Amino acid sequence: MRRAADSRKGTWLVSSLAALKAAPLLAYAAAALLPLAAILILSHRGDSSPIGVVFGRSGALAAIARPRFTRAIGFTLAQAAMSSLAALAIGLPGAALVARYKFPGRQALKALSVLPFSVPSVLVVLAFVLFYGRAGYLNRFLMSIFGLSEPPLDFLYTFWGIVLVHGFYEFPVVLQTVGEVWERLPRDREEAARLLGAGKYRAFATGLLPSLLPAIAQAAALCFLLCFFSFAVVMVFGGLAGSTLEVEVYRLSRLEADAAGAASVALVETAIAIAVVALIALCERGATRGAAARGTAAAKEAGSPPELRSPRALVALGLAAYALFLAVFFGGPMLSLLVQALSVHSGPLGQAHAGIDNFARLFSQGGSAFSAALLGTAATALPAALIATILGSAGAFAIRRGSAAAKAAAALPLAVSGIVASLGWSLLFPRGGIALIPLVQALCVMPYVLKSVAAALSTLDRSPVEAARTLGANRVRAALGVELGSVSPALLAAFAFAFAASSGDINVPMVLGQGGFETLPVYLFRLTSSYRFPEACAAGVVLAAITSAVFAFKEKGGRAHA
Amino acid sequence: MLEIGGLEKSWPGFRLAVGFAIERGEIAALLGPSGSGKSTLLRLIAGLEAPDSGSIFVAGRDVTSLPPERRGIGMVFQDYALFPHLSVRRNIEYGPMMKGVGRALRRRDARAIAASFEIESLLERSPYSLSGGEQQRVALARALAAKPAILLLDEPLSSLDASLRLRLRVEIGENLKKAGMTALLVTHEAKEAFAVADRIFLMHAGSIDAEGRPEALYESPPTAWSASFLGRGPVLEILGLEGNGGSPVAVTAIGAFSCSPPPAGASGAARLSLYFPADAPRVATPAASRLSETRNVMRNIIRGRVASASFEGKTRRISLACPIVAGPRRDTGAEIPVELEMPSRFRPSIGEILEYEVGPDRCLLLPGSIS
Repeated sequence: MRRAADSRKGTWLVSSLAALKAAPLLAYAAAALLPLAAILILSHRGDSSPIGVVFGRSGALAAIARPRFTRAIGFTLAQAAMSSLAALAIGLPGAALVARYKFPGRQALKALSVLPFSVPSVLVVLAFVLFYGRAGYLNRFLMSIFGLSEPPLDFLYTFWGIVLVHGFYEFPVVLQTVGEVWERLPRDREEAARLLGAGKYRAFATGLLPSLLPAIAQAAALCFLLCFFSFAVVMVFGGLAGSTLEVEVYRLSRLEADAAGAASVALVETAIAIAVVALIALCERGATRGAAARGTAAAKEAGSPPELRSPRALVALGLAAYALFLAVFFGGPMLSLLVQALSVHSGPLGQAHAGIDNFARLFSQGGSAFSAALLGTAATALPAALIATILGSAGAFAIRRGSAAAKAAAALPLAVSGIVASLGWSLLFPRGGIALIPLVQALCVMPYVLKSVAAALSTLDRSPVEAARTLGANRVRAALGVELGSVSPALLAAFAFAFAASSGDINVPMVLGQGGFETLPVYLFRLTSSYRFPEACAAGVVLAAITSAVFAFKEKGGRAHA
Repeated sequence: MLEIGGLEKSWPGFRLAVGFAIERGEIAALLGPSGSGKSTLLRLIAGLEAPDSGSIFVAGRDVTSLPPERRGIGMVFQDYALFPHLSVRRNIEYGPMMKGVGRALRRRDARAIAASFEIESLLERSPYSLSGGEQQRVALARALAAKPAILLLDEPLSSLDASLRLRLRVEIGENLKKAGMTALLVTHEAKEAFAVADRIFLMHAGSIDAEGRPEALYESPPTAWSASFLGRGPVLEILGLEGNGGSPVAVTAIGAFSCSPPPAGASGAARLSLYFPADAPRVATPAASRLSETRNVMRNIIRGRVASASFEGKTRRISLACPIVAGPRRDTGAEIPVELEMPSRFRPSIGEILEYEVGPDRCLLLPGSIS
């Protein structure tokens, strides 16, 4: 009798716990779908029927049929595709090196993977202008050694300029995603192919490449998504070449007050993004599956990657070339930023010398704008990081043993860009004002937080939790006391990451900022657009210092976890 | 069929140096503890690593500097290394395909091999869906389908659970014999090598310590290290060797032992150790022990306290803690453990003092030492 009551109580507990688990996922789906619904309904009030919203005279289809938008769709897809190819071209050699060889700087190369998410896009834009621009360091260097009178490189403000910037901005995603899977792939498949008669290249193509392809596709799709949503880069460099859907949504809603047009483009953009997100998820499943198929006993050791070799001869040469390539074409722009920030031009002849005048000017000459932007960044990024960490880790716990549907729900917010989310939420809460900024930023970062916490949870040893339960802790206490304790370094790292990403975000404050409210990236963007480079660089260095200080903190947390 | 001549490979803290040969149709095993260099040796033979010096001949052909795919060597990997993106059939057809065998012939051969391995029903399946035992068979079938001159097997059974391992141990040997294959198997388990191999090469610290037929190695291990590794009985360090020719007397830390003269080849060895089979000692008669005491020498007597006794079916393994009576650590209270194998009906209690004697004919002087 007693047992029956117990088991009833047990099922009640389990089912209520399951409902509790579903809550974060419902929140996720809502976070993604609510702004979309708002855009769909509120911005098309004229056509009341849902059919009219899509097919009506001012409906979505009519709006995007305009040549301006067909051009934008084409441009967006083309630049995202080319940019992904560029990122693959730059990232894959690095992935191969990182997966197979040990060399000084290997960890640093792997650590670059946080770059696309935590280094502000405005900063990258500024750095590339300084290095690759008409009057940039590269052109000046080429002109001086070849004695040219005209700058030889003039492509930054074209389609190819956008591709170049994106390629360098996103290649660490390829390096990380592909490198990680490659590193874990058992080497014996390639060796087996050799012993069965395949030559070196054929063995690679038939024994290893098939297991690697899903990871390559996943990386490419993720790059595609990030470039598809690219905003600041296209705003600056795309002016003449063309504009992307993301930029169009911003222009229509903020500059042209065409709510219906903005809504139509936003919906089309999100529909494409959902397809890409689905593709990413599909590839990810394939990538992990390829690495997991091994002998039974060895499957348990799948976590320990094969031994790394020291590079020799040709490989060492290739490594040096690759390092040089990255140092010049990727390190160069970053260095230019610092150099420019620290050089002072005195007099009309522009004689430069080192000094901190640019920094001093930030605070003095009308410097209140800089201080306000600094304050604005702190005021938005801190709460955003907090919300993102809480929601993201709640989601990670929820999907741990969740169904495919749960995982899909968790990935859905990835498909809603910062601009689109801002638009949707501002339609939902017209009086929300700048208070919406941290909320929307949190929702944008949340999927990445979820992913990193989920990864930490999946490597977590279950036995301490089971031990806690045999020692008398109930399910909740075991989860809180033991699991939360073990993932706390990962949570800390996630918070740091979310803070860096939010403080570098420009999309959300560009749409939602009002009444002179600015964050550092917006301030930086304004300076860059008005060619006030020295001050922009100084502000950029401050912003870089903020995001990278947090990044160092994240590294510590990450290592403690590992 | 396989001739390894003066093959060397060294890296910091380790040196591999071996030479041996395997006859056509022979199944040989490289047996040794982990870290003895046996897997490295296999990879050198396969061409997956390059030796510092030495030569490798396969079927009379020097393959030392050839890439793996041109050596005519097949290999079954520890984790099987099946191609996960190919079906079982296409895994088996991979080798012939690389050799340019036509599609129809490939198919027919694959089916024939699958039939002989009883895996026909798996042909269209993905390696993902196979059990460990099935994967092992597919890996063997794939390697044989490429018709190598010699097959290398790297711990082929270590990924399987115990009961399956016992069954496949027999099966793998049968399959290799049926195919008339020359094979070299690497394993760290003596029983596996005994069950499968015609001849065993015992590897220790980068070189071959002993070789022979399984029965011969087991019955009379030729070196101190092999006796110890095969768990055949106690191997004791010799402090001094008295007498010569006919009946030498070896002084060890736990007493003196009259023993059989060392075999002709061994007497020249730098070091000798005393060994007797674990089941050789008999309970000492009171008279025998008194006799030794009166002569003030405890000759061929093992006296010690029972430290542990574990039941192993027919036998019971008894660990005796024997006080040190000779040498530098004498009378320090230190003890040396000596493991004996006694009929299991004998049940000593822990702490009991036991006295055994072992006949001079069972006490052997073996080259080398285990310390």
